[in-house]
Amino acid sequence: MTADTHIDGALASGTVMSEVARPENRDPHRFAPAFVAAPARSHSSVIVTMLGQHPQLHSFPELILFRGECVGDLLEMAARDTLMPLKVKMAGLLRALAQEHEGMQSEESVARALAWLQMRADWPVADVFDHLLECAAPATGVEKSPENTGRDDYLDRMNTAYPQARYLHLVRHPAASVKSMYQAWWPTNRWNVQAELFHQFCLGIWYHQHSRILRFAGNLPESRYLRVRSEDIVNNPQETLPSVCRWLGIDDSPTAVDAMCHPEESAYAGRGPASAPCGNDPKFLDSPTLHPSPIPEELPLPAEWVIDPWNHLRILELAQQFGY
Amino acid sequence: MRYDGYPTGRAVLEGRLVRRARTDQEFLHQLREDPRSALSDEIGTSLPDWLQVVVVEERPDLIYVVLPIDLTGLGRSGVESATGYKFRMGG
Repeated sequence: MTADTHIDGALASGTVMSEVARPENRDPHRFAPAFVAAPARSHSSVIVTMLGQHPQLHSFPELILFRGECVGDLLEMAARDTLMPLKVKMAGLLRALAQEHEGMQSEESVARALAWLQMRADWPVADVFDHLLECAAPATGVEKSPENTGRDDYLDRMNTAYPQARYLHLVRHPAASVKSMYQAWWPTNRWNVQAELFHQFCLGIWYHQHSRILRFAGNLPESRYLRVRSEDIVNNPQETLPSVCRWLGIDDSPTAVDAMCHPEESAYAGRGPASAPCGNDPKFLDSPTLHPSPIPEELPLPAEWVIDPWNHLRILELAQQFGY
Repeated sequence: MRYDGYPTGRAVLEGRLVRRARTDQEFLHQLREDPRSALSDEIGTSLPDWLQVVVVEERPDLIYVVLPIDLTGLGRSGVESATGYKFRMGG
């Protein structure tokens, strides 16, 4: 049996083991990680990986931890998900555990990472993230799963677990975001959405996810929230990243910023083993260097897209607030 | 949350326009005479060139029924994925 089939089989069977006592008296103030909050297709994979190249930061792939209360929830959700292969759904978390535990992401180390998780099925997800943050210390951990901001209760779970966490809100021009979503998602046939409404569907994700992040941020002190146009980071990192560093309270020197301009040097910049191949945007994983991202000159969305006009206006209003 | 169709934000924006027109005579005039510019003014950015805007006023002897764009083709799971809400259907 290969490691790949071992993982698929273990996840598909919903196998969970619980043999390791969870940490007692968890201190939610022990760590102050940085979460990148953004819908998918906002350049978050490249930007989080860039951040992780700063000597005082450490980024992880998409851990998708906060969809559940405990590890067992995540394992069961992964086993139930009929639309996304199990090894894809859990890949970021498995790669992170393999890398942090053993310094490599091989079939064997990923299989051991899965076993590690299965033995901690009753652990709250924050205990797993604490473990990864402890591995990364003294660097500050950075995480960015788009799913984190997909529902209010996920954000509440993060905020309760990490009351000192910082949130870097990445925005991207809605037309460019939706084109990217369309390219990535339409071929997957993952949602049962009529073809002519697929742009509306993608715009809904852009609009509702940003709206949710803004509502959430409205209750945060200013020191814990920063909004940045993602195009500004990837197009002008030398000008944009120093202010992000200052907000995080870390070195903003040209040396530190230069290091951040090389996401391709991250341990997570590339495909993982066959049993955990992704964990970030596949397009980024296949070409993990910085690429410019032109901003469309016009804000209104293409006339040929079938969009509810009121929704269109609300999107224009929000995009204008974001500086587009 | 009960599912009443895809939440487009229409009620929010339409409500803002009506409230502002009720309290701001200049805006009411602008809305009647040049609805595109009034709407553009309200949202703070230009409208698409191709978007037409018509303002109608009801009277005791006249009502308008608006049939919005049909978004039922998004499907329930599509709407839930797009909005992040878990809906109850019907009722």
